[in-house]
Amino acid sequence: MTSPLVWRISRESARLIGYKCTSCGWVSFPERKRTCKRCGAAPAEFEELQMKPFGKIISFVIQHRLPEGFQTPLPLAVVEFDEGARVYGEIIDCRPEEVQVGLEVEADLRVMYEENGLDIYSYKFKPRRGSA
Amino acid sequence: MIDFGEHFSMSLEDMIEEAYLNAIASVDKGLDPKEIEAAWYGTVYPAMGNSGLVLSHATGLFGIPITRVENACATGSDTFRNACFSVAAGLYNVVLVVGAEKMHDEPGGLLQRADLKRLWMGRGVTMPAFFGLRATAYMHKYGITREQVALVSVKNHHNGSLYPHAHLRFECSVEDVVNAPYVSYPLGLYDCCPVTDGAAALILARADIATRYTDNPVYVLGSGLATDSFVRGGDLTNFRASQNAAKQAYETAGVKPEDIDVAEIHDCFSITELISYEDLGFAEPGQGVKLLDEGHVHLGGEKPINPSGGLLAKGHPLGATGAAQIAELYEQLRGEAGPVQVKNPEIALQHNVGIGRFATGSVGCVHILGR
Ligand SMILES: [Zn+2]
Repeated sequence: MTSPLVWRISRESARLIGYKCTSCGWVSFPERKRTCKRCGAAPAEFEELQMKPFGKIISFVIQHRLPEGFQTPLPLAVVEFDEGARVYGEIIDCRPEEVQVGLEVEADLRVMYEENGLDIYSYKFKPRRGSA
Repeated sequence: MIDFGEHFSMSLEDMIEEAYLNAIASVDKGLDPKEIEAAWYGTVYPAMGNSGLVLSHATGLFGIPITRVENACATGSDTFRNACFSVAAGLYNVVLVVGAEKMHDEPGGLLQRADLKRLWMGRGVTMPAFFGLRATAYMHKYGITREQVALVSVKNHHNGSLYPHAHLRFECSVEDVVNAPYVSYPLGLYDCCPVTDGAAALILARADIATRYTDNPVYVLGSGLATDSFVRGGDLTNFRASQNAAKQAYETAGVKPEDIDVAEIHDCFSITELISYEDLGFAEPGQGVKLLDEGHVHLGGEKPINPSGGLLAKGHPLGATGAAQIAELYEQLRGEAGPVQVKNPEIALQHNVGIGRFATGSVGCVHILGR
């Protein structure tokens, strides 16, 4: 059992499916919405969008104080997918000093936490290495 | 208001009771509690339940409308704003506004809200992280150093060392700020406000009868409130919620940023104050540090900002903060601010910006007061 909060977005979250507003291009991820949060269209027309696992770091912090269950220091970023959707994400597989604004990153499926004996998977981000 | 600090010996209601009694005692020509026709009560994480009943119990005001307001770190100011509407609408002559927060009864505190068991939204995003993300973006875009951001903490701790109600009453240097342990890089301990208990109460009366209570009233000239979310786009070097709230407040008051003589603005973190200079129109984007370098915003400067020490030194009991800022500006405008009194201010600005919706969005609130 996952929490309803996680269950409701499980399809979009796992498959990186977003929804693009046909009037302004804003991308909703991972929630499916009926109104646009950028242009305010209500109802807005959204088209389903298969996002690629690529984006870049808009900004970041290195977390030193977190509740139990997190490992610190933890680089945490606002990542913008190439398609425009913005999310919070942990940055992995690199030294903290490699984390920079503008760094190109790749979404990587990882275990986020355990709930009732089940591993809950979602994406963390690692630097995009080499040519893709 | 009451002295802000660690009030382990006081309950939430005890703090409200004291703030309320202080407010009544401060009315120059006296106020009979029976004249209070309605009350608004702001708190974010209610230590004693969600309703307005806590305010009744703390004050003895039963049988009148009491509304509880919650709106992130703008809770205190939005509580005030809603009370203003009732008076402006002609519904009541005299109403009470109370903001209060008990931060010290739960040992885990706000850190626990960086929910581990959540995906995407707000996972691992503490309050320092939310504002730290702004700091990184701002410093990167404008080439600002941690030492420059630290000037906010140095200024506000200096002011707080003089202000009798402040929680932290010590001075610090730029070196102290940049050498302190990191909380959320690039923000260190002295870039962050402390965890503080507090309460503040305000008495609001219709403008045309205010002189029944005092010969020296302070008037509410303007008010604004707005929300925003980072998922909407734009860069992370400002708060559009603050910008829109400020625009509304300036328009309703009919004043401009340059008309503001003194301000209490939201410095939950050092970077927040720096960005807010720009959001409130006191500086052009990227130019906020100049105000600090030139002493423009210091006590004795042209536009002193956070003479109380701000949230960084005075403390930030969420629901109390906005109400306390208004109480402080009331004292400033009446020339009663003692050691932190600004020279003869006529127009004052109050500002909050808070985080909501699992740290994805922000709420901005601005008031303009005058005498
Ligand atoms: Zn749209």
